[in-house]
Amino acid sequence: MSDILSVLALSDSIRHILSLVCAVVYLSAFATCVVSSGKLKKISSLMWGVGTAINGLIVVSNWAVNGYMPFVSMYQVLTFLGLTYYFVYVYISRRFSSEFLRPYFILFQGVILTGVFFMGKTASAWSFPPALQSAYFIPHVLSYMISYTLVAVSALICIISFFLKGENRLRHEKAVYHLVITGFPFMVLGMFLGALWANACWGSFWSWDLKETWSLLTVMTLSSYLHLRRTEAFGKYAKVLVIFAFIFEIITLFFVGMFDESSIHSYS
Amino acid sequence: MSSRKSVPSDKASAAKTAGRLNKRLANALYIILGAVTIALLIMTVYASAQGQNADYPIVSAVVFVFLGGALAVSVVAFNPQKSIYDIGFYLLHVGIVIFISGMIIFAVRGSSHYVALPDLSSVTEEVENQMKSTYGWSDKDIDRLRSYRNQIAGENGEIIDLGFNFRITDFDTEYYEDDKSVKHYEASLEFFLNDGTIETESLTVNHPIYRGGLKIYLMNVGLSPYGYEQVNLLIKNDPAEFLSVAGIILTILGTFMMCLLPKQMSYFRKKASKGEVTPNE
Repeated sequence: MSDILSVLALSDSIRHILSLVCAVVYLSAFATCVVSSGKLKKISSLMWGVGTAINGLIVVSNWAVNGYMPFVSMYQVLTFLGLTYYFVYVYISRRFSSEFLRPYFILFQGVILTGVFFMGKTASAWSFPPALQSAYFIPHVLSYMISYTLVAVSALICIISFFLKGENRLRHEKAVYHLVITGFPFMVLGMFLGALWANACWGSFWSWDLKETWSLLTVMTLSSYLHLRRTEAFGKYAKVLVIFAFIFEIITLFFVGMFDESSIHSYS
Repeated sequence: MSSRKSVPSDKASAAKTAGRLNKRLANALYIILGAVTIALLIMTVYASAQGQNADYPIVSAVVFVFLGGALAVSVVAFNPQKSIYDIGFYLLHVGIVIFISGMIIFAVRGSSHYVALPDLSSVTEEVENQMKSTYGWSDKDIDRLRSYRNQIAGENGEIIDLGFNFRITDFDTEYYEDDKSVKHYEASLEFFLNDGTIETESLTVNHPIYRGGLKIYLMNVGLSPYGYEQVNLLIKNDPAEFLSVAGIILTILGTFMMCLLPKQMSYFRKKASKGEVTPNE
């Protein structure tokens, strides 16, 4: 087992090159998927599969290099997030028969892996601090990754739906709803697992830390969307909240840790 | 005949009144939820701009109370299909109310106090001599430092009885070989029991110890001004912890049931213009 892991522990340079290759393959798959006709569709699927396999290899390699589930640094989280899109799409497309969402998922994968490439080749190694050594660590981060994936795609579809009309617009609006109701429970799960973890680690379920507060805002915004869309008066405007939820998600994920080093969540 | 006719008409009128009431409650809910969200947004943006943690001891409690109120209104206002399939709806909303109740009970009846105790293994002979020569410590002071603690000082200087005697006999820090960052903290706590026996327990990050109705957390470690290692602990008394945990479990369960089980999604279905509930699948 340790031999296999040592083989998979690729060097920083190789993983850096792989992240570029992966981003290019994803973006090419996206371009061919948008054109999508006959043979091109098959080529797109093939490229998407190859991209996902490379992405998976980088994740496994990160795991082998660090010796723990690679969810600690931003580099590790984003690399795994790229992979999450594939599996979430497989579930969504089967549950709601919404294959037309495929290019949106691939586009996000391409953008994320491009970001991973620009993070540099030395960003992968990271020590595993005692506070993160908890049974809550993996389910907490994984739940958030699933929900972030769905909220990001739903916000993009929401923006696109403003430029569409008729049946196509309705189809996109319905997809936004489907993505949100699938992602929302995972966001709630992530938040409350975080609360349980905080109680085990810091002795408090909730500390009003900036990251916690922004994530609560994201949950509340999505919750408002789900409630408001039932009303006759505000129903048609409710989808705007999904875009706000995505903005709050971006702030929670990237900006809080970047600008507030005193945050109890600043590990990466 | 006339009485037969009046029954459905009464029912219709009652339904209409209930519908109007529901609508008003729903509007109240939206206003409260909106106000709380906006207040939270303003506070968070403000705190972000200040570059510090959002620590609002009073405001946060108010936000929780408002949230609890909004959710209670939500349960009343959106009594959905009264179907067994809507159990997720009740679990979710009742779960949040229970969680918030637990938090409020903790805020009112619970307490958490930080306490700094010496790692006695670091109070070496050399450190003792330095404490005596440089800082004027007497043997009695050092004996007191080494003794078991059964009281801690509260935030306002009040003395709090713990109900048990304990001290820290050892503290280990393990480092990663490559970047020398901390891998593991472990404190050895020694409890002196009433029957004269001694129990030792190890305390690590993420694994608090329960003792005498209190929870002891390992927070961090530092060097005291006198040269020995000082371990910072958090001692917490949360009489409603089980409520908060139960609320969390119910909320998670309810949310998954509502959102991911197809038959239980009626609550989130969009209302058609005529007021009928339409499947949105």
